[in-house]
Amino acid sequence: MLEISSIDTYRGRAQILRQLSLSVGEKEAVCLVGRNGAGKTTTIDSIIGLLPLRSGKITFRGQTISGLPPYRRARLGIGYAPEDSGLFPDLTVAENFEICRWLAESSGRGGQESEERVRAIFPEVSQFTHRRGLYLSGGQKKMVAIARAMMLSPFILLLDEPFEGLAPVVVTRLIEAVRKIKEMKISLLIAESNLANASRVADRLYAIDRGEIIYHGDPRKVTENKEVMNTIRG
Amino acid sequence: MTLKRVFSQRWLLWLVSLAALAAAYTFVSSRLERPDLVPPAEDLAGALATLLGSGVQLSGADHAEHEHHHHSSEQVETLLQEGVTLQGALAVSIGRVLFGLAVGVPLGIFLGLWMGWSRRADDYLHPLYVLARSVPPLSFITYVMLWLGHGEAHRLIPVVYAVATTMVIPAYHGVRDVAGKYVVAAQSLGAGGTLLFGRVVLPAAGPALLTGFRYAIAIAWMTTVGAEMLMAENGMGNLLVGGGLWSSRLESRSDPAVIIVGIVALALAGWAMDAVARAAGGRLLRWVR
Repeated sequence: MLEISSIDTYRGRAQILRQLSLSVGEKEAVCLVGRNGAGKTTTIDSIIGLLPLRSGKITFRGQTISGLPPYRRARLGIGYAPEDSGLFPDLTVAENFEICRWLAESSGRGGQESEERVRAIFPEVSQFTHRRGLYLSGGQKKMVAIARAMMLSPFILLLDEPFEGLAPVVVTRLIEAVRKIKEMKISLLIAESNLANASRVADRLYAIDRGEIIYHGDPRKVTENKEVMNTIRG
Repeated sequence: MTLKRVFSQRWLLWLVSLAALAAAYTFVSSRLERPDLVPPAEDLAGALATLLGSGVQLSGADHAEHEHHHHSSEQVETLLQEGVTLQGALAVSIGRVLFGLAVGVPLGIFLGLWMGWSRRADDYLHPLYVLARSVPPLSFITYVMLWLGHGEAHRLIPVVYAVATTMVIPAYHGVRDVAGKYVVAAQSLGAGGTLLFGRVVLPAAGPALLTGFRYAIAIAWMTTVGAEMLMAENGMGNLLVGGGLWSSRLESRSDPAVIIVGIVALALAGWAMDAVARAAGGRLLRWVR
């Protein structure tokens, strides 16, 4: 599905990612775990095309996408919910979804069916569709951001810190939603700093530190590796 | 209570402040006793009536009587001889202001959006823009005249120039300051090119553009009246300096009543245009709550 092969990414002059490789298979949920500043967001930004690669390449469903602008990658079926949710604060939730409807018209992704699927994952969103993005709680924002990305029926969903700063009960609610998304046979790549949360949803886990993958494997077995545990716990 | 029903409170306050201004003027003009600077209110009314062209006859027979009922001065005589009326002068100036806005606003918005959107365009154009913006618009008048002679162009070009340079900055910052994360959010939903620009960036820049437009109206008036005072035989600027050519103006004395009536007319015209802009902007930007 998604294949990242030895990429180097810079932010300005600073090299953030060093020969980073990872892959996400079909219907697979993969977590990228690391401390703040380890390179999780940079990895996601590289995948959606917000940062150019210095070397390496990224393929998606057999197609090299490293040279494409972000919106073309999105139209291929890469959904993204940013860390700050990226909602338009002046628009209501319904209007935020409306944007997806325009895009559905021009890109052929999404449509009625996917809207209904989204409603099934997040039934509570219908209670605040008329509220402005600005006035949503943190958890509501995250839900709307994921729902909005899901509207365009992606093949893979990239979630950047979806559980950060949320109350445990809300985290549980979101994890439940993520599991439902997984059941819809949509691949997931989740950047997460909390290993416990990551283990609740991940089929596979990558640990990242200083732009390098330091562990790759079963999320339940990472706890056995003391060195990795010390690093990702900071 | 009934008053409250007739006027909403804001209107009432508005009227009160206008009445206070009028009362203050009357008080100052009666105390100061300098009709050459602060003419009495009757003079203003007379000048207004005369400039509106209500029943003015300049024929000699009833000239004395005319003097009695109507306001007269050297400036008024010159203006009347030239066939100047307040509404005529105002119409000419409004026409120039509207022309300046019609051409200058799209031009300025285009440049501003371009520079705001494209890093490359910004690198090339920004230094030129900063240089150009520093030139007072009226300083172009004589040079335009060298190219195009004495005509309408040297009055209109400075207005267009002033409006365009005023609109560049709000358009530029409107685009630049659309928080990057919204652009990212839209891009990650698959919006690129014209869709991103037309439906995300431009609407987001809307409030900045409206504010800029309101400034541009004021700047257009400043430049128009300035250009008319220097080089025009019609319009509000010409009315304020009393018609004729500069050489003759040094010899004739300005009529304060005409000037005050003219200034008040300019204030009202500017206010009306701003009100229209705000109302139209409010409709266009109704999503900004």
